[in-house]
Amino acid sequence: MSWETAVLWIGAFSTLALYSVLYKENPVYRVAEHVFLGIATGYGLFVVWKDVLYPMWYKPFIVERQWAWIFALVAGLMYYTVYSKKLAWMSRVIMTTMMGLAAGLAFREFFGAWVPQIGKSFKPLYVSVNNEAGQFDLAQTIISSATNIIFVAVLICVMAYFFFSFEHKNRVAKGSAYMGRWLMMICFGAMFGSTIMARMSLFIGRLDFLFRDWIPLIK
Amino acid sequence: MQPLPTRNWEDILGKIDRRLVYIGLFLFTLAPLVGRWALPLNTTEPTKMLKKAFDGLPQDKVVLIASDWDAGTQAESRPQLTAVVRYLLRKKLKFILFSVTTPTSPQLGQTVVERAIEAEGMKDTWQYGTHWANMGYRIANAPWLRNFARSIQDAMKNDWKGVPLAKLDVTRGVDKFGPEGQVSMLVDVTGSSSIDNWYAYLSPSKVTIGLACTGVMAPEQYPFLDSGQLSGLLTGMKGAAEFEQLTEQKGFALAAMAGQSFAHLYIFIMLVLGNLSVILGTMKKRARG
Repeated sequence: MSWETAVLWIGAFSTLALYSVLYKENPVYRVAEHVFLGIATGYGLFVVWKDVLYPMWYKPFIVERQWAWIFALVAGLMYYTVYSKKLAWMSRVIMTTMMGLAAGLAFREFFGAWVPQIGKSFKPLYVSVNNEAGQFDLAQTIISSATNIIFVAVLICVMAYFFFSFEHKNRVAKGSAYMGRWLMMICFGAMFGSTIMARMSLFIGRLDFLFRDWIPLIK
Repeated sequence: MQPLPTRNWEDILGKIDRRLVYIGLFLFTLAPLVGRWALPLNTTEPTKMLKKAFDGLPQDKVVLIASDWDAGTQAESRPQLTAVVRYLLRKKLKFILFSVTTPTSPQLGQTVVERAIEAEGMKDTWQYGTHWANMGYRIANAPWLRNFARSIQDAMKNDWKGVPLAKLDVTRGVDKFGPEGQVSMLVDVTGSSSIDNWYAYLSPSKVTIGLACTGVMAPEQYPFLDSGQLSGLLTGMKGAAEFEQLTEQKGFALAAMAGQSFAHLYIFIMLVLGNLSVILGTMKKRARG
């Protein structure tokens, strides 16, 4: 048996072992699950050393003798002082420093990712559209305007649901918040539908492996 | 002698063994794949937008592909990356691969590109180092991302085998994003939230950003498409299949969509039957008072 064939059979056995839980909880599934967890953890440790610690810290520090990298080691070790009552203050120093750093950087991320969203939410309710010949296009104008009106209405309703500064006693506030809840439910439904599609894709991926590579049924 | 309890439809439907349901799903998914049955596939606007974005790219710049997926999402991400790379090959656009979320991505991405080059019959004409490269994996913490947005050369330095970027034709001088830079577009093929990094750090550079994400992530990405931060979007395996159809490729995703469509049909039927069982049961209870 060649190495490729052995890998193929191990892959097929592992796939079937993991799917066996659909029938019922069983020892074969348990073994496969633990083997996968063990391999993933071991592989993760190896990758952290090979791709992160060795090229980014060990090599510059030990091989290239850039001694300033000792501070990274000290900062890293400060996290572990959390286990000592006497030295725990050191862990708080490094944690608060990193939290401050993260908070500062988050500002930039917020502006880069979300400010354009806020700007683009202010849509005109009436959009005049001209066709390629430069003439007024009534159908496209209606479609574009209706799209923007729906967008703004949905935005207001959903925001009304999350507006807690006053009690939703007013009919308008109550109605829009109620509508906002329904609109969010529709959104969550779409998200769940996409999740089902994604999970089915993973299943098809495994079927393709089993019935194309292992048992050549799919041509 | 006691009479045998009569079994109603609602009882039968409500008590189907889940293992039978799974077997049904298995058969409904496998049969179209084996029999090559297909349902019509409509190409959606986000996919067309991505193709349009590729079509507008200049030949003298490179496309950066963030290949951020691993074995967990390969059923969706692999066909997406394959479809995108094959189209770039047809357009003769040079590209550079890199990863920031999963250390296993560079190897997976490398294999996909090599197979795509083979599938397009360009093994002798499209060379590593000259037309494409793989810069490997880097940890995307905030300081590194800031540096990357400012200078690709400084942030990356080497390809995945440790060869300096200055020694490879395709990466030499590639340093900046946007209209003034050497990178015309960034496409993120991802199974995680790596796209958030590019919104945050690359949006200000005005570089064109495309996304190929898993189905789970897609609904959250539509607002970015609407705001113009994204130039196109492939949603899971369906997105890959639409892109294959649009660019006339014969790939895995189009074939797999047959199984996907029939599986959805089966789930839909099961949902209707399950709900029917509950509704019938409730109606009978109400009728009995």
